[in-house]
Amino acid sequence: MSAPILNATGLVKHFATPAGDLPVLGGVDLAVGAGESVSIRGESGSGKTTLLYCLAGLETVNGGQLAWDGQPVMTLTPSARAPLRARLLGFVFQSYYLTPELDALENVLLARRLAGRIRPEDETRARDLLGRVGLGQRLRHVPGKLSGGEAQRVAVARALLNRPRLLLADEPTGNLDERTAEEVIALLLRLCAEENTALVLVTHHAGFASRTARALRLERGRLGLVGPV
Amino acid sequence: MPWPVYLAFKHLFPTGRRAAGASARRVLLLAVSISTVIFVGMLVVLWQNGALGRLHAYKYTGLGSMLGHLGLVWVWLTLAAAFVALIFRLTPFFNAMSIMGIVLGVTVLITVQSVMNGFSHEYEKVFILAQGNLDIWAKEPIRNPREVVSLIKQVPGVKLAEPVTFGQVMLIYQDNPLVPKVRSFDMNSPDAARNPLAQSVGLGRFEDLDDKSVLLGRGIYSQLGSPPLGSKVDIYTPLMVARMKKDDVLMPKELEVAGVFETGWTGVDDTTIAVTLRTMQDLYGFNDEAHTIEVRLDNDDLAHTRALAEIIQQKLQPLNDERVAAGGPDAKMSVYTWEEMNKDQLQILFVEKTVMFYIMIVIVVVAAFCILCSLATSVVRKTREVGVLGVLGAQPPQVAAIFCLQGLFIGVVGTVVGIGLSLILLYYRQDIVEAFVDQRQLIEFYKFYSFPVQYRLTDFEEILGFTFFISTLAGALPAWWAARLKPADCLRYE
Repeated sequence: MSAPILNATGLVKHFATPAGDLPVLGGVDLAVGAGESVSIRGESGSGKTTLLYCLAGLETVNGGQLAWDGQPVMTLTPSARAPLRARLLGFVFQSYYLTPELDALENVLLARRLAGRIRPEDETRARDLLGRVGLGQRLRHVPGKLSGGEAQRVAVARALLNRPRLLLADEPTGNLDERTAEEVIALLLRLCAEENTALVLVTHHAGFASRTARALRLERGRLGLVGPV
Repeated sequence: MPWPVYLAFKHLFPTGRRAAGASARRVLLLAVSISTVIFVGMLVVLWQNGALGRLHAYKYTGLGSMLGHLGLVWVWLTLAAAFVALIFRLTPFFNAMSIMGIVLGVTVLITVQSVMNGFSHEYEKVFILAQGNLDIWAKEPIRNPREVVSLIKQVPGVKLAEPVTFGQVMLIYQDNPLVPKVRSFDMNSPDAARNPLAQSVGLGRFEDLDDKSVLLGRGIYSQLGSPPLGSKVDIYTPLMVARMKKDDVLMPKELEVAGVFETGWTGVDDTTIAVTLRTMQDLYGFNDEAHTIEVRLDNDDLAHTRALAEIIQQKLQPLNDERVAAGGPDAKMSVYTWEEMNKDQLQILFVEKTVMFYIMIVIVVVAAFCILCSLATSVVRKTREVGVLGVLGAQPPQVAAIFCLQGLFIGVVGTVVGIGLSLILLYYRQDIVEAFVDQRQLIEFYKFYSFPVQYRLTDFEEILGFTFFISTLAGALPAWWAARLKPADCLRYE
């Protein structure tokens, strides 16, 4: 049995404040297998985004272990972690975070450009991904000319360009209307399945959460199972 | 290309900002409007200070010619305005303003430095024209100057050498007195006719100069009322005045006008007359003596001049030893370059140029602060984008490089445009100056007929190097801020 793509054990995180330490995560255990989809729900302020950033190695944790595809991450320096993260993980954010000076194709290719030189097959893949998200005719449009849903599709394509083993999505439908959100979630789940990319989806939406293979809930700093395994 | 370079370039010239089709027409319309407003304002100013009338009277062959020339100025203004509008179209507003700051700074620096170089170069030419590349002086008049001349002419690189006597006299023609400088020509020397001043005789012939005649500078000739050739002028010297004090009769030296020379430099033409060496020796009570030996070289290069000065000094050493032994230490001859002869004036020009440089460079420094503000604002606006770059695998030094490189690109674009603008301004400098200043005032004060300019590679290197450095440095503080941002904090930034 292969190692989980993501294996977090006993993650502890608190923020230092003038009033004392603010506990956020009190020992989170999470293992995600290859191609598996997992959703995490919780109330506002429960620490979902913090958990996601800890799983991505963007936040330092105060305790616990984390491994990506079997490789321990906590012992790596931030500069050593960054290229590993770029190779293994993909991200989709609530606010898309596209570079406004670049058009759709250039935004998607940015993920590859940061990893090294762009090869012809990278551009072919970028065009293919944008076609699969329904933006094959909008390659040269800058984010300012795209709707919210379209911008989020570009972000999904960018996240998948490097064939990540795991995609982390933080409220990807938070800024979208119901219908567009439905389209984006369906797209996300479909593409991750096609690419055999594991998915960790942070969402408020119960309906979206139930469409993943496993639904978890973050309460009082710990993860509990809500939906099917 | 490395991705920080790519992103820095894209921040400066984002995708999607292009001037084509309708936007190109808008750019052109804006340019025409701006240039027309400036052109009309310029015409009003020129009309009010009388320049239009002056230009019509003195510079152009007719109204059509003047209108054609002014029309060309309008075309240049329109092109410049179109270029500026294009920059504002292609790059965000704050970046465009930063670029304009650098453009203005570089334009001013290159224009000022090139004009100051021009002044130095013109003065250098005047010095060499009037005095030669090298002069040999002793503390007393040089005896038997022809012996010294024949020794000096053995040195390779020496083109001309002749004994010269200088002085100041009072010249009177038809009760019109002037006090010009006077210099001599040794008409027995074959080099006399090859002297640049001798070759500039336009009225009359240099060969007609003899012990009873005088050559007048063009300015002196005009001030005397343009006396015809053959007219008699009276010359008074300090020696004559000294003799008069001893109760001798004061009789001027009467000389005939043999010709008029015009070198093109009012500092010489307006102030100098020329006589033979024999006449000067009579006027100043010399025997076979001269004040100096004027040497002209085959090459005006200063390093070459300095090298030959040393060689000639060594060549003169045996003769110096003889003369010092016979006549005392004041007979020792020393060789001076034109630079040494005029070091005070040159030092003033150097100080002027240096002070102007340091004053004008403040403009570039101010522009650099503009770049810093623009990029600092950019870091704040792009906080979340910086976070995303960190998430995608960017290292802090790479993120910092984006902003430093933006500063450098702004410096490069501004410098290139600034150089182009300064070259255009300098090409039309004479027209611009004459539009505001009467050329006669220019000649009277600066002694030049046209506004001088000289381009030196070292000036361009210094200005480019400083501008690139300060522009990049202006990006360093914002770059440092950006590099310190943590991706998670950036993504949470509201």
